[in-house]
Amino acid sequence: MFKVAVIDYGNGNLGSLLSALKRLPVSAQVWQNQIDAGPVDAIIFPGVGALGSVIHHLDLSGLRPILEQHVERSHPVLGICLGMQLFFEDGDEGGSGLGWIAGSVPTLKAQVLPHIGWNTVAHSQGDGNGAQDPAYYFVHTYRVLPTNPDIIVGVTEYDGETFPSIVRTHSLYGVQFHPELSGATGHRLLSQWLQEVREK
Amino acid sequence: MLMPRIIPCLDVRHGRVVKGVRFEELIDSGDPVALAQQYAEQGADEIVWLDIVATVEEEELSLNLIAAARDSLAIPLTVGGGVRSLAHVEQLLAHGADKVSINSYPLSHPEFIQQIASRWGSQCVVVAVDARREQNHYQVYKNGGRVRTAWELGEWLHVAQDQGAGEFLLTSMDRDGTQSGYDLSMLAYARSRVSRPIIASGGAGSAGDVLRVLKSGQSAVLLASLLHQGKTTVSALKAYLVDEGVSVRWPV
Repeated sequence: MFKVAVIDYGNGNLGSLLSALKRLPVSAQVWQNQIDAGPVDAIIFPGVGALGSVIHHLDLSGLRPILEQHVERSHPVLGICLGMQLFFEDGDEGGSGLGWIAGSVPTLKAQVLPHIGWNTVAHSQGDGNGAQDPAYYFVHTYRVLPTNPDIIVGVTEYDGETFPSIVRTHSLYGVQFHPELSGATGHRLLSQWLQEVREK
Repeated sequence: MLMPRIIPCLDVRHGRVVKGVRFEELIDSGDPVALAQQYAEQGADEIVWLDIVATVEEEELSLNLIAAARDSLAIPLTVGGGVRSLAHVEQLLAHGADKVSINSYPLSHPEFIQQIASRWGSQCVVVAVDARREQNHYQVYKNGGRVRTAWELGEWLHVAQDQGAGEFLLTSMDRDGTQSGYDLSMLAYARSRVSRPIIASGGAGSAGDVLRVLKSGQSAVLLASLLHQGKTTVSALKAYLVDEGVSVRWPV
């Protein structure tokens, strides 16, 4: 049976993500530490917490080397919000990320932060016709700045700044928004990602 | 482009939705889980759920209802009401809340905000503030508006922001339940004092009131009696806002 691991950074704040996976439906296995890490087909990094404490937890729990092995073997990984930011090297938030993707995680420049609410995602190569673009729920203060712009799949604008909202490279897929909180649109995105993962 | 948020508020007591007029006279208006789901289907951008529980039995009922709401909701859920311990925050999050709203307790213990933010992140902490005009300034009240505090509004917002508040839910006690429109001047004053998102609350009596507060530059509104009394629906409101040139998430 197809199975997805959800990483628990130690705060048990996974309710909406686990509910969303249940609605898809897909079988989820929560990983708090290395003992939980059984065979799975894909891994999800959820989007809640603070970068520094999450990295600390991944080290303490013994999960970090296990996750690195999965990435080396090109197993599919979905990073949501902070989960995607973790893929990168350095963050403004203090400390380093996992360093799987070259780039940094600076603060957004907007007056009012965090950027909270529903915003549109335009295809980075498209004509950016806003009206038809799907909307997702965002809540974040930091953004990713990939060294290689070719990995950017979708972009979003807030207070005059355009930042990557979807990135993809090798088996890593990252979204700055929360698909689990983004209604039917978010459900479709999760469902499409799982479909692609299953077909591989 | 960031779209304004339309946020229905459920005031829950003993497992039922109630709505007060000027913080008093509670009227029963339905099953919270069914209402939350209905609002989400109609295009609500988030749900705020406020429940003050007094006994252990009530707390269990409340947590079970929150978990049931979570299972059907694919939009953000903020839960609050009498939250005064990290253990309570942990329980609410474990039962599926995405954010926790805190109101009275941090007014005497501002560090409580910081304790939640450092463990779960600022995005998790909504600081709810009840304020009313006094002579030439706005004063903060607590315990459902019954107790005056020593905090001037701008001063409190600033302290709460420094402690790690992720956003504010600002209720005008002068307007709450009166359906006479949002308190635009209080909201503009709050906006000038802090750089966190602010959810405008208290006074919505018509779709026109919502239009006016959004056109005044606010980006999130809380709705209660307007919806519970069937004066309008979330979908009718959003269709109206689109007609008036406001870009909201519609149709969903």
